[in-house]
Amino acid sequence: MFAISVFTFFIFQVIPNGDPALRLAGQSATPQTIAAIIKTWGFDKPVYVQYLDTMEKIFTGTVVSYSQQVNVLSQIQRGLPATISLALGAGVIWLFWGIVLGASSAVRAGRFTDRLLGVVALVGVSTPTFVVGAVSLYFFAYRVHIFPLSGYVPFFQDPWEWFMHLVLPWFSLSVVYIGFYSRVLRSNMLDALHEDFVRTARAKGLTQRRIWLNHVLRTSLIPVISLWGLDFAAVIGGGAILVEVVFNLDGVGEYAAESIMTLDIPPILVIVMYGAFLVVLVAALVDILYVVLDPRVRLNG
Amino acid sequence: MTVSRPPLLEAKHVELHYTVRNTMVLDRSTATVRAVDDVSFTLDEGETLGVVGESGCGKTSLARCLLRLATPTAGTVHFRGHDITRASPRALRGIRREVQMVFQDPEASLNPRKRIGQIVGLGLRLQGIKGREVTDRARTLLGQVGLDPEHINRFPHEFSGGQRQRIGIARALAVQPSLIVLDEPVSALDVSVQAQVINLLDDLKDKSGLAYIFVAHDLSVVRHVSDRIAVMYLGKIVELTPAEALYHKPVHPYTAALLASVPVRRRAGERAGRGVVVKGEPANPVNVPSGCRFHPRCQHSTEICTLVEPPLMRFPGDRLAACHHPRNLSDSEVALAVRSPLSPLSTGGA
Amino acid sequence: MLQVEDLRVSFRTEEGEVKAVDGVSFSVEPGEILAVVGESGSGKSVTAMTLMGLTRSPNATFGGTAHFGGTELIGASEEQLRRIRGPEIAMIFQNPMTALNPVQRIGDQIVEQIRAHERVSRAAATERAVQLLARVGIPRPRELVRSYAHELSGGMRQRVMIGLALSCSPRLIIADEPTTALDVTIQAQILAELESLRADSDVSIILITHDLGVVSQVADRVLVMYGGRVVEQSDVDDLLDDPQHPYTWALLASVPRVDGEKPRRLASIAGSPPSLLRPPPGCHFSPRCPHRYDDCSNVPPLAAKLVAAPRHFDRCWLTAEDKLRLRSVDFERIGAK
Repeated sequence: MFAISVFTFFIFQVIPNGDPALRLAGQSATPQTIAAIIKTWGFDKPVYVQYLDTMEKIFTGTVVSYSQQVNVLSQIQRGLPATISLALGAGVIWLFWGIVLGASSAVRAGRFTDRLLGVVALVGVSTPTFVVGAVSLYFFAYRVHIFPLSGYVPFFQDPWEWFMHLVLPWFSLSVVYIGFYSRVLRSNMLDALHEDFVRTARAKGLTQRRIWLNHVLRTSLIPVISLWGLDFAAVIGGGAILVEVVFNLDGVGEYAAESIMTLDIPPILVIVMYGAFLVVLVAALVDILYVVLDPRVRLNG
Repeated sequence: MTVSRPPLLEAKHVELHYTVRNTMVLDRSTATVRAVDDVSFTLDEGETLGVVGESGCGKTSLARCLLRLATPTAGTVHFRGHDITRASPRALRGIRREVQMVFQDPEASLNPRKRIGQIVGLGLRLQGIKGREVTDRARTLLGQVGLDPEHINRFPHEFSGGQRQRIGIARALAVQPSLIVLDEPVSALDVSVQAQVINLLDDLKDKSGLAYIFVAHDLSVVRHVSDRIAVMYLGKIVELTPAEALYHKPVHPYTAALLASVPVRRRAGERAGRGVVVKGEPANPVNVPSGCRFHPRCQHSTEICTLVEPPLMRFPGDRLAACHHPRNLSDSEVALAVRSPLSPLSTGGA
Repeated sequence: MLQVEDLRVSFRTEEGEVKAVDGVSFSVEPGEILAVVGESGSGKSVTAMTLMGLTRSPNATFGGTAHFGGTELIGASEEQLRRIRGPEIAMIFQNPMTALNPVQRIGDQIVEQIRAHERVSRAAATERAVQLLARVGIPRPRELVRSYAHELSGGMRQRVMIGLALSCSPRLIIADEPTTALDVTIQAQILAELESLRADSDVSIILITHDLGVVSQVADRVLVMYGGRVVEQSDVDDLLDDPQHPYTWALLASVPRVDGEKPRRLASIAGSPPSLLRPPPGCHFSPRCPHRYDDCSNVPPLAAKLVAAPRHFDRCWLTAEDKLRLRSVDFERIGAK
């Protein structure tokens, strides 16, 4: 966490044209104003002091952005419901369809269904998210008014509108992950098929269905679940920048995008740290989940 | 054994303990695995010591300590008088030229992207041999281990398991070592091929006066090459005896059990086999039994075995065994027993 | 009970056709232990797994017949085979660590098999699993029925595998190298377990192994396989006392022993087993055989009966007198027997 914060902070220190005092002062600023800004914001201090000052503000919750001079933490808090809604829905969708498509692909390995699904997954993985978003927006919201164009409606304000506003973002975000997850699961399952215990299952006279479900799928799901945890955390951490921007969800990701465009260091720093924190947290949760899913982990390490 | 010449290799009270951590999130307790627990022995020039024991007895860990692929947590290993355990990386390089290792799985221990000429030649280059001579010497080495020297440009995967093990041996021989540590070198091979490799090792030893430490999981394969055999159980040497004596008159009940477990032809009319030779399974090296470590499985065990760890005693005929109730010895032989200087430090007198 | 005639199995691979099993015939009588012995690539495991239909794949082709009870196993439908696997023929595999599902409790793995073949409640099946574990010598079976494979030692896992195989009272158990992955003292225990199994019931066992020591201790009859073919087949005592095929006698002599005097030198067989991709013409052993002559390299020998022992077959072109003479020369050279 510490390393990530240092790294992010200094990257934006060395980016050209990034002098924050100039940006804060605006285009028509006089040298006096700029000097005053430098003084009050402390830009004349050594870099490590600036870093420490910023970190102190972050942990006391008083950190303020350069551009609009609003409290960063409250901005993130404001964006969180939209981002969490996006992540939850998309996460469920991509996990479900990833499993369904991956498993059906594995069962029919080498045959037509498998090949077709392979092509579909490839297309899904290689189509940029913003293209999927923009195209679906064009067809289902602009040409045919099934879904609203953009924006976010809080769940407690109107659950139906909340849902309708999120369908397209969920779908757009899921496409890549479905493609990816179905491929990962398929190859896990085909590997598992050659495991000795699957041969034992066949020798036991179990039905094909039972062999696939109980022995092949179950063991193959374990790594997929942990992968899902990390991806899910990344989306909540503001990782779904493109989808949030395309659909104007005003979530954490969109806030990150805005801050990057204005080279606004404090929010970027906070979002990066918050995202990293979430990933670490979820990784720990996944470790705990592993203990439940995979009894082998419980004893020997 | 001559008294004047120092042994080639001398292990004194070697101990390799490591801690394992419980991976449970809420329980981070640790446990100590006593892989090798106060093991001492000496090896003379040109001698072969067989090291035998079941999985988890510490035989491979011991082998790794001898080359300092693992650093013992206590004790010393001297090679020609130099302490390997404290040697600097530079000194260690010199020693490793004299001590080579051959591994169980020839497939995993040979770089699949290198031609066998390069694999064998590396050791030659390390000695400062250059150019054409490397190739010539590599060919000679391949011939020595019974491979076709013309195959020098082939890759390891083009060979069978037995041939790959020969490549491993050729690689070890390249640096002209005086000791080769063989870790289960024939376990992965078929019987007929196993015999080839054992015979090869035997021939090389006769020709070049090599010393071997031959690690194996059962007593049958080491018999043909070993001068003495050390039997290990849960990190300790329980018996260290000249080879033929061990096969005919094992002193330690565990050695006897190992011998009796090797399947042999049942006698005519005998239907139900011999029944169970030793009950139970070795304990976990994390939680070793008190007293003699073999006592829970031993049919001769008495109260003293559960309380006092037996010292390694030297019986006539250079037979060393750590047992309160040694087998196959006459009363006079037992009376002549003395505590061996190789005995673990912690053991109590009886 | 089981009658295998001219069984052939070959696999299409990228490099060509591999004839893994090349005309194997044998039978298994009720209550006997038949050992199939051979080195890696001899076709012993493929033969066994083919009987269970476990080698079926789009790349495999099969020939010959295998009659078991009233069923022809080679051409059987998947559903027919499924009904046979477990209640009729059960299998024990080499590596009990990987052969058991790592994330399923061992009890559940037994229950699953019972319930795949019989209409019994989960509770009743679990009770049977506990009984089975007790029978194969698992301590505290009621507790350990809920454990996972990795929580048990290698020997215990193999006992679980045996319990699993027994769970539907099969008539034939195929044990594929059941003790190879185990330590010697544990191997002795598992072999004793198999023997007591046969003593208590009239189950037949096909024991696949590379270890002639194991064969000599537990088997009644033995099949020696080499390069996908049976080279010799007889009662175990006949084979050990009077081995007919040069491969068999070389194999017997190359086994390191712990009893008796140490032979001067271990007999080894030059070269390595044949590639089944391009097997030698004629006798598959001929390239490694010190006694081959022209015929051997050209024409595959037929199975011949030994006159004195009608149940003793071998496939070799040497005459009986030649074999006797050459064998004693071979054994003399290495100082065995």
